[in-house]
Amino acid sequence: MSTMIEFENVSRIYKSGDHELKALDNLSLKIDKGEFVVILGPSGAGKSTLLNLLGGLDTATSGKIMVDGQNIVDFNDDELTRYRAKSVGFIFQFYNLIPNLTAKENVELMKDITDVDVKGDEILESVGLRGHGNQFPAQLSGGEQQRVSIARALAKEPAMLLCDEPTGALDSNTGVLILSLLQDMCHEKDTTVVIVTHNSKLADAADKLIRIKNGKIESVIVNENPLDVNKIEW
Amino acid sequence: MLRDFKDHKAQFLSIFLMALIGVFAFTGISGEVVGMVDVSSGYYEDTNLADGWVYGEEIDDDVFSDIKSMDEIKDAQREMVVGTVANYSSDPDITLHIVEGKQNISKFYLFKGQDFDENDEEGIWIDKRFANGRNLDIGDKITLKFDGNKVSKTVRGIMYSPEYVYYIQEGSLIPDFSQVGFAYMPSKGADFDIVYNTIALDGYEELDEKDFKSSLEEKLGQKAYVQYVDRDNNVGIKTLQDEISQHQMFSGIFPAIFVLVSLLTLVTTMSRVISAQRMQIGTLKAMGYSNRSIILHYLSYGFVLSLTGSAIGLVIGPLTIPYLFYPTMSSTYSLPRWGPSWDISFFAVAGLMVVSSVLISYISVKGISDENPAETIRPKAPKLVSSGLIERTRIWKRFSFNERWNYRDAKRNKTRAIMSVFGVFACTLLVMSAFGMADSINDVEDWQYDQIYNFNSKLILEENITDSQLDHILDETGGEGIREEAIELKYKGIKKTGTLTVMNDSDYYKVTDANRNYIHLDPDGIAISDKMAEVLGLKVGDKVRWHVAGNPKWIDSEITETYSIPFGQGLIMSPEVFDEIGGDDYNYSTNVVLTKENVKKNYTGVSSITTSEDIRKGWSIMTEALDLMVSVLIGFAVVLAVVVLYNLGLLSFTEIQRELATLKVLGFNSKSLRRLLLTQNLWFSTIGFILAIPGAYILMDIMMSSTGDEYFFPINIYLWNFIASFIITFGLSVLVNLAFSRKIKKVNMVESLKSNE
Repeated sequence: MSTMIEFENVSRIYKSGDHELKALDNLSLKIDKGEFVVILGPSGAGKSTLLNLLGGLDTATSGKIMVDGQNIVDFNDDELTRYRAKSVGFIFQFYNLIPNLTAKENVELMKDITDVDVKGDEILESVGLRGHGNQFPAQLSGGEQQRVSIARALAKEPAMLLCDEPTGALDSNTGVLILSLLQDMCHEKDTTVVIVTHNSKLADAADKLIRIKNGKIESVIVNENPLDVNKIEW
Repeated sequence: MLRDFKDHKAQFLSIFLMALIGVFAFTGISGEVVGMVDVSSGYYEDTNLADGWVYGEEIDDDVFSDIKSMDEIKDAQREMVVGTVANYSSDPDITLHIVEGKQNISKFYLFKGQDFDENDEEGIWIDKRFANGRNLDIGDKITLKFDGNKVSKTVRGIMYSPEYVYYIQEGSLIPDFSQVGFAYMPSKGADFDIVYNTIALDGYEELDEKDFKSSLEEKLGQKAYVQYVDRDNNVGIKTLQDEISQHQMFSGIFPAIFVLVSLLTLVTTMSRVISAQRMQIGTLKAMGYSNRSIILHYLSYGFVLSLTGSAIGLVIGPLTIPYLFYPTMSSTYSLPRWGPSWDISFFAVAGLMVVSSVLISYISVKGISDENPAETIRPKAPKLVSSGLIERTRIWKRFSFNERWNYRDAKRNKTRAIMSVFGVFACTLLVMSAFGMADSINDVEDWQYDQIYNFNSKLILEENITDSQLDHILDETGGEGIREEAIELKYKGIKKTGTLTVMNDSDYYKVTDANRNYIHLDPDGIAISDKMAEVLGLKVGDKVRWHVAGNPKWIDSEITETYSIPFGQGLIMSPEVFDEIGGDDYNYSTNVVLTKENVKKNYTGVSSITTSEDIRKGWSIMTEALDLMVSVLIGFAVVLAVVVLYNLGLLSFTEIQRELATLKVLGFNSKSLRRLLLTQNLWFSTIGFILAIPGAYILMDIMMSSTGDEYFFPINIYLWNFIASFIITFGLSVLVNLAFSRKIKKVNMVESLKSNE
């Protein structure tokens, strides 16, 4: 497998007055194409910062972040926007759907920023939301909303899906369904999936498990035989 | 609280600004009018301006004591008023008042020197503006000549008189204060025969012209008096009064609209700001704060912000705007003092701002704090939007996401949408009507002075001019003779004054219809101006009663057609018709000659010459104040529009910040996000603009119809100014949108995504 993402000595330092906070401290890691990666760590460990840097929402203070051979730390605002539009699919804890648009419109919205021919109904069907296309987010349950969110992320056919606590706001049964969907997408479409969570039970399902503490890598474990999400005891 | 101010500084600032601008515009514009009313009426009162004047050829002691003893009369003062020429270059005209005894009525307002002294045989008092024009000072000698008499006196005082708030040299429209003036001296100083010809009257109550005239006639019979004029009909006082009414009319509705718009925006913003504080209110409640203290906390916002805004507006409004008008006004009118005033309504408006703002804060906070805190901590459940009619149609599919999003956003936030449309509507309405007023005035100027008047000089003839003198003038100038008379018209109990023009088809005075096309009047008919017909309520075929002022003979004439003219409403008929219907009482003779040539020469038999240039100059001075008013209104409308649009944009921006962050994360660039906001702005601007077009016409119609009976102002907006209104409205819309582009760039993607709020 080829290396798709590489962090080299990445630091992210937040300054407020004289006070400095090292959210990421000289961190290095590698993620391969098509890997199902789980990043674990307690609150404040720096997992979200890592995800935000990778997603181009935030810029590293120092170090290199290579994605497909390009260092995104050097990108300017426009390049970052294009990078997000083309390469990154985001899935949020609170779904972040556009309330004024129906499920289908939320997905087809992506037509405006990608060259991919987005077929809203097909994609919604693939995430198990057949027939919900004309409903507004407020009319859908949490799990359904998260599915729409996944459908929206997939619509651009991005190289990677970045998920920040995707099940954080869902009950565990629904959460399992969502995670299983993500795992399937990863394997079927060879999409790299990076999930940030503090739920350690997900560890067994990961191709690669990265533990973070105090802005540093604690451990990286490569699972030779990752479990199917559905088979984990929750 | 200070922290809240910092976090919401833009919105708080806009609440403050709303209160400020609303009150500022209202008090500034009204303050000018109220100030003029106050200053002039205070001046009249302080100087005990006469309630009326009796004029006669010679008022002897009997007549004087008869009048003085009338029940209505508190006091009377006899004067000899004569036109004199002062011994200066170009012979300035000075009206000299020789006052019998003490000066108790229409006392002058002393600017410098000593008070009027009835026993000062060598003293004279000169008006301030003439003194300025000729560099006269206390102690200077002045010589006045009249009817072979010579009066040489020493200037004892320099003053203003309430009888002379507006005065001009004969034949001109604007005063040249080095050429015209007035003076007062005591009768004891006269070394010529005094023939009293004026009595200034001080009544217990107003001495209304009609009523008092009949009491006078009863008391005196027809003997000894020629004319009675009450205060309201004194030319100078009436002119100033008309000017004030004109300002009142122009400023009448506008300030109220400013107040309305700012009030509504203020109220919307306030309620939105508080809704945005929902979570905080919930938290405060959960921590155990009482409803009362929470409500008080938020009420203090509305109170402090609107109070300071209103208070500042209340103070600076009248202290700034009116002063823009004074230079123009004082070049025409003479008052000892120019200053603004505060009307009780100003305080009412300021109070209204504060009360509404506090009230809306109360209602908003109360609504939130009455909920269960557990509910309040959570964001309000989003309103469900159902698919409406438009969404089911096929057109919907063609809409871009931008359009769909904006359509639904507007639908979900109806108040905000309506407020935005209303804000644009009101501001465009103001800009457009202000332009329209200016245009209508210019338009009328062209109509009257370019289309109708085609002469360059107007020669007013003396009544006793001989035929050979007239022929000589007509020969030399190639002019046309006409007759003009001041007439009184009556129809079904309505009485109006107007102008009678007696002439045949003229090249110098052309007749137009309401569409400004030239028309030929029937030489056998009698035509009435549209506006006069409207004011009297008569139609072609009706019979109007009329008589020439000063001649008691009334004549009934059937109206055969109409014509249109901006100023000088009345009748037009041919000399033949005039002679025929006038019988023995009215005979045609020329009293005005209109010439193409610019007449400089002084012909015998001509009492004064007016050039069309003078008339136009007079007109432009008259309209200068109105032009200024138009600029002030446009200025305010633009400022108001910016604040309203920015404010509503800010509200919408704050409310959709999270969605913007999401879209940004998904990879939308700032430009398309700005377009998202701009689309809505443009929609609202378009609707507001379209609504404003008929609105502006209605508003102008209301204002123009109150211009007075003498004027006919058809409303008109030039295409150019229509385009200018369009550019202003949409320009501001885009400009305000640009102000948000920086904000969009600064939207923090990470922060907006984390929380659920």
